[in-house]
This record gives sequence, C-alpha cells and structure tokens, in this order.
Amino acid sequence: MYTLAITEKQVNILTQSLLILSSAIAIYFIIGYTVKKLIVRQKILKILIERRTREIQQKNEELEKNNLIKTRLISIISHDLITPLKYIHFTSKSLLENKATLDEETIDEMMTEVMNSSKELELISTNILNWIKYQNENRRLIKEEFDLHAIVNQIFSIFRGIAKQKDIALINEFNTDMILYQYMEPIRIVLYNLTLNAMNFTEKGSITVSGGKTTKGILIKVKDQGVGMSPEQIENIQSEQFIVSSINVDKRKGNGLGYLIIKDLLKLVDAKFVIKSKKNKGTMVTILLPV
Amino acid sequence: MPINIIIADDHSMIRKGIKLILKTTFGYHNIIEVGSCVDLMSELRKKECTHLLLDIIFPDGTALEIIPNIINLFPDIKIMMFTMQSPVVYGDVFKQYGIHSYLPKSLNEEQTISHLRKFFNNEPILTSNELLLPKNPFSSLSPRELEVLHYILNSHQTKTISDFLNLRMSTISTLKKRIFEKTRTENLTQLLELANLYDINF
Repeated sequence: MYTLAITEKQVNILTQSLLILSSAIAIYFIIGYTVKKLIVRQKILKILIERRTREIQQKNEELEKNNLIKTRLISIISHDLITPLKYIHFTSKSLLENKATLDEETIDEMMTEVMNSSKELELISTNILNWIKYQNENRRLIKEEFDLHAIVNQIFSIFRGIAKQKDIALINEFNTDMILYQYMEPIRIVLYNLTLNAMNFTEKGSITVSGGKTTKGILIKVKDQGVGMSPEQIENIQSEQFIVSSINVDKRKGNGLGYLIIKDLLKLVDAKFVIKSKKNKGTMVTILLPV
Repeated sequence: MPINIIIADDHSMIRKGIKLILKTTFGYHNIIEVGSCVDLMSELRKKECTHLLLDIIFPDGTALEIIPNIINLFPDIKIMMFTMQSPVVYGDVFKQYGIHSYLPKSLNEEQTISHLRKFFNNEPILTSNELLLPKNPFSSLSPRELEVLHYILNSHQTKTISDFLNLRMSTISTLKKRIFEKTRTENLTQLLELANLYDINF
C-alpha cells in the first residue's frame, strides 16, 4: 500500500496556484473580449463619422450653391423687377397727367409697353417664387401621378396671350394617355422655363412640346423655331457652372435666370438634358428623366 | 442746333419711360431708342446725335468698352450715364472720359427730371457730395479692371474674356489678379458677395 508523500502544505500551495492560474486565464479572456469589443465599436464610430462628414460636406456644397443663386437673384430682382416697375409707374403717371396734350401714337406706344412689361414682370416674379418655394426641404422629393399632356396645356395657357400677339403657334404633342409617376413640381417649373425661353427667343413660328416613355426613361422635347444658340452659348449652359451669363445673347436681353432654375431642378431629380440648336433655325432641348 | 437724343438702355420699359418724360416735361421729340451696343453704334453713325443717355450693362457688352470709341468718333456728343451702378465706383472712371453727368436709376421722378434738366443745360451733376460717400472697395479699380470685373462676376473664363475684350490672356490674368488684390478677396464667391454688398450690378 502506497501513501502519497504530499504534505497538507503542499496541497494548499497547489490549490492556490491553480486558483491564481485560472483567474489569470479568466482575466486574460475578459480583457481580450473587452478590447475586441472596443475596437469594433471604434470602427463603427469611425464609419459613422465618415458618413456624417460626407453628409455635412454635401450640405455645405448645396448651401454654397444656393448662396450663389441667391446672390444672382438679388441682382436680378433689383435690376429686372424693381427698376422696370418704377418706370411703369412713371409712365402711367405721366400719361395720366398729360393725356390731353399727348398724341394718340405716343399714348398707344406707351400703353403697349406698359402692357408688355408688366406681363414680363409677372412671369419673372412667378419664376423666382417657384424656385424659392421649391427650395423648401419638405416639398422636394415626392413622386406623384400626373398627366404631363395636361400640365403642358396649363403652361401654354399662361403664354397664349403673348403667343397670339407674336403669331407663335403652341403645339402640344406629348402623349395623351400617359400617366407619369414622377416629381411633378420640378418638371412643371422646368417646362415653364423652357417655354418662356422659347417664347422670348422666337419671333414667329411654332413651339412644340413632345415626348413619351422610352426604355431609358421619360423623354421630353421642347422645340422652337427661334433665333437659336451658338455652340459657345450651348457649351456655357451645359457646363458645370451654375451661373449662366446672358452676354452674347444676340442683342436680346436675358438674365440667365431660366437656365439657373432649370439646371438646379433637373439635377435635383437626377435628369439629364441636351441642347441642339442652329442659329436662326431654332432650338431643341431634350430632357431625359430616369425611370 | 436741334436736339437729337439717343436713349441706350437694355430695358424697353425704362427707355419708354424716359422718352415720355423727355416729351412731356421738356418737349423733345427727336428721340431714338437702342437696346444694345451694336445698335447704339449703328444709330450714332446714321444721324448726328447731340445728347446720349447711356446705360452701362447691355446684352452684348458694357458701355466701358465702347465709350472710348464714341468719344473719338463723336467728340461733340454730350453723354449722361444712366445706370443702377454706384457713382462712387464708376464716377471717377467716367470723369476720365470727360463724362460729368450721372443719372442713377434709383432716383424718384422729381430728382430724375432735375438731373435731366441740368444735363440739357450743360450743368455738371456729379457734385462733391458724392465724393463724401463711404469708401467702396471697388472704387479703386481702373476702367480696364472694371470691364474685366463685369465678366468675372458673370462667371466667364479667362479665354472668353480675352476674346470679348480683344486682350491677351496674360493681360486678363494680370487684371484679374489686381482685382482680387484691390478688393482684398481671394475667390469668385467672395467677390460676388462683396459686389452684392456694395450694389454692383452685373
């Protein structure tokens, strides 16, 4: 029979060592686990920060662009709205005070100008208002169902008076039985502006809106028989810059507000546009809305 | 000598308004209207013009670009600047060209008529009061620099500006640099903001 030659003391030491060893191992694993968790958390935070930074950068770029547009609008409003309004007042007042002594030809000339200018101012103001309204966050990216043919008719009715005066035919060839599910407001404002441009730069002839659904998306074409644009003007408009200058517009006045709004809104709804034009033959603007 | 007036402004309502004032208040009837630099030069060549009301900004350029020509070809013509631009910025430039009459579009009817009356009576209008106006960062720009400023504010590239003004690209670059230095701005955005603040139209 054997007896174990281990004293009680030795057993105690062994037990204690085992305890210490297992504690150490446990602590090692706990620390390891906690560190891993911290590393993962840090990675997540880093990704979140990167995403937030990108969002802030985007917001910044947009604010800068809006600021640029606002600056342009301030100039347009004071130069193209307030001063002409003042002169409408001067002219009307003068006509009232002098109607007994003025000849009919002059009275006709002045009244015609007041009539035309006030209409022009109404259109510019509406345009600016529409653009400002659309900058409001909540209204932006809501798709709705609508009939584009009907929208074009609505827009044409605004211009019917002037079109009749200038002997311009407004032709709506857009597909009649198509209901689109798209961003209605921006499209309406863009079409309004394209029609306004066509009206302003066409002496006589026709303005035609056509288009429909294709595999690539929804195609909308606005074609006029007006004075056309030079390749430089087209390049200027289609460039990356937001501000489109009005110089070189062939003796015609233009403040570039139309394309400012058109480019801004088309970018918003991810649409592309292309301009084809021939001097004195006409211009065609084609818009492609993604499906 | 009969008074022959040309009104040069790119806004038809403004042209008609001034035309009516000239007819009713002053009794002048020989008035021609033009809306662009090209049309202005063409009308000046057709008939002798005694008085010219001249805006600064046109669709096909600025008055700064054609004034030297006009003064050369028609030294006897009396010119009054008719504009929204501040006399503080442009006043000195026009004085260099011998133009002492300035009609701001911001004036009311009485003031406008009073300015016009002085113009037709050959009395100078830019008084010393205007010189006491607060310092405008753009007032130190030379005529050439003001010409280029207009195109820069409209976001034109150096190449395009050099084509429009018939100057070398290096000249345009130097002028651009000087504009930024004189106005203490570093880029187009800052320049645009400053222009807005001081009511410089483009």
